Amino acid sequence: MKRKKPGRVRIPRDQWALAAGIRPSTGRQATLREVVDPSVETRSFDELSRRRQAEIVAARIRGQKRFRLWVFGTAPVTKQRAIDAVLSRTPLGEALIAVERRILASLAEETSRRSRRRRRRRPA
Amino acid sequence: MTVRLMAVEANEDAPTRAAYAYRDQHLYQKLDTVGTNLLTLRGLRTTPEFFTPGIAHHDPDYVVAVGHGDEDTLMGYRGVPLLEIGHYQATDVAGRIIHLLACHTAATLGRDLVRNGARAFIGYNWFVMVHEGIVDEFLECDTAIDEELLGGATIAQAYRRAIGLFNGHIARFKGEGRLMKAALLETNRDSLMCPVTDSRLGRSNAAL
Repeated sequence: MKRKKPGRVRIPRDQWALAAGIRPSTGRQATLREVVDPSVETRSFDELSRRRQAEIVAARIRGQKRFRLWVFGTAPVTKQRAIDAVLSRTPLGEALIAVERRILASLAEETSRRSRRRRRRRPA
Repeated sequence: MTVRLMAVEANEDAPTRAAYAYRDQHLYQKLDTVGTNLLTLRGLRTTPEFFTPGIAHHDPDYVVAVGHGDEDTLMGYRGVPLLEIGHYQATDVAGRIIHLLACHTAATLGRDLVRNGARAFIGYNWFVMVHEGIVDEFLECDTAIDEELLGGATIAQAYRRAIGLFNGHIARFKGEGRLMKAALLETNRDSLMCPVTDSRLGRSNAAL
């Protein structure tokens, strides 16, 4: 069996359709597929205001089929409670934004790696 | 030499019950009963009425507690404070190594415990976030600290083992496309504090 190179990230299919940035021309949220498409003008998560980042994270949580979270300090966090915490940017909401920032960073790193690899393969 | 261990397990809701179940199976039941003298306070007994006399009589070298927490307080059953800044005696903590699996306690409480004589503190300075799909992996990392210390390792060695386990699980989850699991473990890994990451939390070479 072929061994995976360390550090590689598998991108689950559902991630491509989740919000990952915005389209500045319309102000609407952009999916990961749109963010990595060079023909679509987008702003990535890290380029956005904190309010916009919170909206993106809330949309990403809303878009998950199953949201589960336990915190050592509070009752189990339901999807709606997580969305409310993110949109009102409570300490828990900020923590959830930080978790999604890590996911988006992993996705950005992996999509960038794939893009570099495609460019290297393209004949001169 | 016998190590005196005091284990405090709030064991009252999903995360703390999962923690107790894991730790009972993987740590407490495997302890060397000759080398370790264990006092466990669990559930209803994780209140000051049991905690304070337990500390006084057992005189533990090592205190490990699982419960809810905030910056300045470790809580037991139903949120009752067990260790709260300004409300505990220095003799409760002096000379001991203290490991708390609770949210936020490394932010302020840990440094206060060390200022009051604890040899070292290990804990988390932010939310500790898990779900049932990663709770075993997370607890494996955290419990490794106890296994290492009880096996004679220093704080620095125990911390390195825990971080190595975190990194292994994180890489595996990323490779499997389980990005939420990886991100939660990364967040917990980065909020794990001890004298290696913050010298105000005691000495890195402290050992039992």
